[in-house]
Amino acid sequence: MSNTTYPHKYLYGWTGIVALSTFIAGLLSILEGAGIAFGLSILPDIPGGCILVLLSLIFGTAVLKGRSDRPGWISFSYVASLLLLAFAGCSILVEGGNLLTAIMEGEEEVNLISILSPAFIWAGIIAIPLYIGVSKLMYKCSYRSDCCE
Amino acid sequence: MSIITVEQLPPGSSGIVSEIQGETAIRRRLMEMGILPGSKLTLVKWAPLGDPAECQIRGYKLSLRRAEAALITVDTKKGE
Amino acid sequence: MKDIRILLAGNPNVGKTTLFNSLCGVHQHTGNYPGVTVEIKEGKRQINDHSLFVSDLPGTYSLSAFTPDEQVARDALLTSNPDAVVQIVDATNIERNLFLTTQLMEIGLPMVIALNMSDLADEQKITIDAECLEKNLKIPVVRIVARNGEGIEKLVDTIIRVTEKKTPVDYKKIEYPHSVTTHIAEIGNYLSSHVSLLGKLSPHYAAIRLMEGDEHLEKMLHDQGLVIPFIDKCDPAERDGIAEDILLARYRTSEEVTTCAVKCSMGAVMPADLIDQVLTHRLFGIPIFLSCMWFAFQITFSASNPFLVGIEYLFGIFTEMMNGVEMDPFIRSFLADGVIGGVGSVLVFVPSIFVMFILLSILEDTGYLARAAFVMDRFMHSVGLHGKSFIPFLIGFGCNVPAIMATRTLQSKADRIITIITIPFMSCAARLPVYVLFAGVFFGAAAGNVIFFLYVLGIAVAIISAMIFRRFVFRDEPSPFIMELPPYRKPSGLAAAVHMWYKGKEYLKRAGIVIFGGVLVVWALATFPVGVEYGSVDSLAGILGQVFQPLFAPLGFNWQLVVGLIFGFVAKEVVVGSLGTLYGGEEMLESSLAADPTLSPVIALAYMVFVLLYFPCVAAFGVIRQELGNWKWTCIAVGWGILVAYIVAFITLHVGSLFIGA
Repeated sequence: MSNTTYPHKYLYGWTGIVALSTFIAGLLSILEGAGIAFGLSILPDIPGGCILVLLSLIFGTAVLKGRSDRPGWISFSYVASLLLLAFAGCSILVEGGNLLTAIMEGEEEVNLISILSPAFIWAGIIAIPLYIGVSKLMYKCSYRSDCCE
Repeated sequence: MSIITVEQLPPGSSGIVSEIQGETAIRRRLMEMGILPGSKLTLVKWAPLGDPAECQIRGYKLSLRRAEAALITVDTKKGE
Repeated sequence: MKDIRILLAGNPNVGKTTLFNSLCGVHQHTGNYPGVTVEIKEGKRQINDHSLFVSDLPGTYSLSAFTPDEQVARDALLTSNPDAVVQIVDATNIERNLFLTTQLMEIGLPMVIALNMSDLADEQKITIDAECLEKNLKIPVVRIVARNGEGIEKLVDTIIRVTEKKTPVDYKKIEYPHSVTTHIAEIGNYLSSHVSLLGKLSPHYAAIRLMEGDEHLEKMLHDQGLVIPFIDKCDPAERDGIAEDILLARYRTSEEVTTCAVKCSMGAVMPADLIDQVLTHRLFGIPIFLSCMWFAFQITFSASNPFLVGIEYLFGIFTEMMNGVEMDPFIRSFLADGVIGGVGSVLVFVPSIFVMFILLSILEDTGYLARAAFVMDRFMHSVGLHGKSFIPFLIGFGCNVPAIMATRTLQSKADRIITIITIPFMSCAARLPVYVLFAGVFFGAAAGNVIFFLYVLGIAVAIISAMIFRRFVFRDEPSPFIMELPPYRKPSGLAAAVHMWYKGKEYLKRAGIVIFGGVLVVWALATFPVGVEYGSVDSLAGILGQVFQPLFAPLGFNWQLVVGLIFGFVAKEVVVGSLGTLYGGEEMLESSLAADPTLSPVIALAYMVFVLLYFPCVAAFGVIRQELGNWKWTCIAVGWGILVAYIVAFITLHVGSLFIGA
């Protein structure tokens, strides 16, 4: 395997976009949480925002690693996108739970859209193509033919 | 020096286990997990806070605290 | 119709529980064993005219019985006389798995090897010659994939076949060094004239176990007045040497068999290496762990909330229905406050326990739990605990009940007891209303800081308690951190669901009774003598509060506060409600507290400290009893809490009054 050519340059490029979008999503959540609103329907969530920024740093590391160390890019972007998707799933469950509670407690203003307000979901959607592409590479990389030739 | 303890092994390098010291119970346990004289042991890395260590032995991963890693002596020359 | 009893043995993380689930489906229950709960699950499978009774032993690496898990496994194997032993062998890591095989086959029971995860081995291009394995060990080998049930039928057939065989087993012999063999023969000869003392063991196997250093067996024989040749004359160093020779011989045997049966070993890159590069990264490892915990915490308490509201709603309907029926006020109070209140106290924890166990089971199945322990161990070890204790502590901030149940992941008895004793110091969500009330009334703008101080105090007390118990009570208990980092695997939803269901059921059965009983006792205290207002001065609880008040005088508590503590046994948030009753209405509570001349900010602080530390609610008490498995440790846990609460509240009062004007 050669480290100089990049047969997956679009996927590699996409990692950069995911890193950026995750960072923005995190920043927006933190700013909303700190009371600086932009009128976007993003859930104010400071801890969640910090987690998104953390993930964006891991994506960023993946991009940096990718310049010289292809397996490094694959594993960092695989784990980060897996975590992002898992956390997005968790956010839906948490918001769904809150919504259901609100409905059952008979609260007046129930907004179905609030399920989609966590920034994790938007960052997660952008990361889906990366996850699909990289998990295939991950599989090849782990079980590649250096065992038994 | 080619004979050192696992604790002194640079992360990422390996050696052939030459001796296991320590109390009977701990030594026995280490041996049961496959750390025997003659087996190849790789110190993969230390945990983020500096302890414990992740080692690879006999095709699986084992984590050991510094205290236990200091009980295992390896020969790095033979490990190459 | 024939009953066949089999034991499932194997290393941890080889898919034993998955195989057990696919063998027995939902026909299973958990057997309880003395001491700290190490459990053996039991299940049943019906095939034609045979009933297969399966016991799932705890995962073990060997039978030398260093840990409680191993002791339970050893005792089951050596004394319960099963019809067959099935060992699950992980096809991706045969060598270490076969080490256990070399111990199992010497017992001399009919045996079958289930070669699990052969699909993963195929993916990793590890070719295993099962026939060669079978021929070499002379033990039937069946390839299975426990995850999708592949090969289970064949495994069952093979089990039935080996149990029907009349000839004694004849497995591969382990080649011990000559010196060891002669001593084994010598001891074996001697023991063959005392067969009756050996129970189910053969003299030859008993001799090997003695040479390996089985203290339990040695002590038993000595108690019978036997003088064992060689062993009794041998000095400890020599015996250690022999035990190690035996161990080496076993590993040599497994190496030899592995070389023959496995056509290639693992390649340089394992998938776990790639993932661990990130998950246990020097910088990212801990933040990733904390993020995962943040979400686990959120889900446990948010996703279970709708169920909670649903349960409360149902109970509201019950109460209303009762109000519609004409009945004696005493009986009404018994039904509404006692029975329904009791059942409610048990049920409110069920949703979060279910969710917590699903998450924990997923984390454990994927292999991440071991990494979490790896990442946090340094920190936890410095206070005398194990890396795995961290997760229960975190859950404890939400609710102590699921937190105490989460200590199941700890293997060492000492680690588990210390963790269970210290979890109640984590300030759970139910204590918050008490802080909000008192801090709000007495500290005004500084209320937030006071509440933060209480959380930190709880953590500090937990750390100090853990250190004290480790230093003085469990000093001699070794607790090495020799932990396998299992390969990463996809979690199975079914396994998680089954796990959740059984843990939940167990909680209802065991802890439920204690919780229900506790609520009834407090109801009785609040109601008797007949005719008094519920929970008022004239009730038993009120009288008790006044009787015990002098005991709390050094802490500055008046009798109303003491009564509040009694009701706090049910649940900490009840403290606020009962104070409401005592001060003549909850609406007035804040102003009445502020106006009470017997109270002051320092006393309020001491009271909050006491509420934080003194006693987990009756539900937590129920699960502590369930998890510790005996009353001795349960009483120590509760007594320790009350003692610490008293001392710390006392210190708070006196040190605090230096800073805060009385």
